[in-house]
Amino acid sequence: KIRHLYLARAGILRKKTRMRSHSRPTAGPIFLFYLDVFISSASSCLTSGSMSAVMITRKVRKWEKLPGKNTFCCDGRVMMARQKGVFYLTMFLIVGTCSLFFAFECPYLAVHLSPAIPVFAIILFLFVMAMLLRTSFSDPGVLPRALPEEANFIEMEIAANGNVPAGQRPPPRIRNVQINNQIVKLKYCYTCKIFRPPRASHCSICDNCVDRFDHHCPWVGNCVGKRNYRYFYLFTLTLSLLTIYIFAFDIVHVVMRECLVFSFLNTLKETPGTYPLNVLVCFFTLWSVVGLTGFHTYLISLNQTTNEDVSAAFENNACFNHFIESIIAYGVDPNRPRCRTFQVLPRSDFPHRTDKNMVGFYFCREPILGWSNFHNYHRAGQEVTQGFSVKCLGILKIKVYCRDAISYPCRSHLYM
Amino acid sequence: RCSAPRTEATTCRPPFHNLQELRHSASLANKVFIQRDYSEGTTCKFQTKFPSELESRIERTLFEDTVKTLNNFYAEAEKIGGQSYLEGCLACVTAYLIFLCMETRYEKVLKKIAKYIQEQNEKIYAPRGLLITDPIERGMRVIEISIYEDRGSSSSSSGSSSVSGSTAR
Repeated sequence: KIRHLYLARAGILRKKTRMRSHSRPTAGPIFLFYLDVFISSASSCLTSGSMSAVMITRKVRKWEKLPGKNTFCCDGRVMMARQKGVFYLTMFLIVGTCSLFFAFECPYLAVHLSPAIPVFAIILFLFVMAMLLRTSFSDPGVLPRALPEEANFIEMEIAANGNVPAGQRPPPRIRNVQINNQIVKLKYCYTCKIFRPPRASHCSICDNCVDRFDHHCPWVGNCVGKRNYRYFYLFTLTLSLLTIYIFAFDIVHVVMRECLVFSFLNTLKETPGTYPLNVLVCFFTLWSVVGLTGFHTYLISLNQTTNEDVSAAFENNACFNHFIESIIAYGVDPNRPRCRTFQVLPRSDFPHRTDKNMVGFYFCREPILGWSNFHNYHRAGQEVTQGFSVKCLGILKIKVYCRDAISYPCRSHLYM
Repeated sequence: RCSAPRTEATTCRPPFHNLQELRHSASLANKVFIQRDYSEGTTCKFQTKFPSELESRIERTLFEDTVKTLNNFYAEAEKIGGQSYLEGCLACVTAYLIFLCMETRYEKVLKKIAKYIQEQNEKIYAPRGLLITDPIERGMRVIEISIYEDRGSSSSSSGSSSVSGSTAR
């Protein structure tokens, strides 16, 4: 078998030089693949001569394996959505407005009114930033996706419960549970392959099911769900207070300088940058943020999430435990997907091996496995491990990317 | 050729003495999922209904004890009382920075739960070829119990070609 591989490889190498002269992908091209390999143990199927690979053990943090469109920083401590542009805008607006306030108005107010004013402003500002960062960086309550066994178990349960006659569309997957003597329908999430717990929802931007999903906030760059709702609410609340504070003291500042009519122009000359920016920003922020705070206070009193309010789906809030308990009392579970714990990748992550599709690997030019049939087109840079069966004995994780475009059908080796 | 009638308890099953041995010598046959019990609201509680797959594996009382203890732990963790209000207000006032120094009550109870599950696995479940996965690993949706068969024995339920490892501690 190894000899066959070597010969095939030699043959393919010849084909490769031929292909280069044509400079377009034809049936039978050969590619160099970039392999990102983690090996945990050798297998007895590999003959000793063929294996010159290095045995590497590596534990992988769970966040590295989390499916879904989140970005992680600081080794899993920071979890955000992918689009962060508006979040940077929020930061810029808050920091910019506050620094203008501190630079231009605080000196005057501290001297003429009281030094407590800038102190309190600084405290408020730090609080706002802490809450903003906490909301943006923390996990909103992402539900981990079902592992294959659980997904199969649910599929079997669904199949057992109802047989759909051929040609008809299967009914939507719903599970009825009784919560406090009310029937609540749990929907099935096709992406995460779970029945969503009550009040959970799937965020399409982050591609995760989030428990007690409120909404996806672009200003904060993250979903707002069970685990970071309290930070979000405190953020809007303290930001409202900060905005009102700055706005009020802007006005006080103007009034104190001169009488109202002249003073605006005068102070404009003296502190050029402050007024247009500060006042404008504060004005718009006031209406939007204070409004938002009021809206969320209303929702909390009704024990509803924004999602539920918008979709008007829940008339049966009474059966759910109240929000307030989990906002005031820190009773909510921490790190559910346990992003920063280690996980040794289970072998079931690999697609199953069939005889038709086997990927060949070469380490240090030694073949260790079989060879492959490609049956798909792939763009350059695309990961081709999906849909491939990998006969990788003891290799836990492989990501194979296509360097050049592939056309099929072809048989080729992968080698490094 | 056994002349004595074989009861459920005496089916040929190799004794697994510890978790390590279980992992190395056994192969995963099946997994059972204990669902959440929502009858009393959305607090965390699991159903104590005994699944049929475990009929031959473990005594009903032991299983129910485990689930009831877990439910009690979760109820204790989520209890809203004086201490949790105080903790929440203190945290709020310090912009939640206080949690850099101390652990929340919930985290403390979660650690207790993890220890309890580990101890149950070692003492009760692993000797019977079972393994409980901490529900927090599954998003508090299910308690996953993995059923193992010895690789040497040919049991009809273990012939699956999908080999997967449970992430139980």
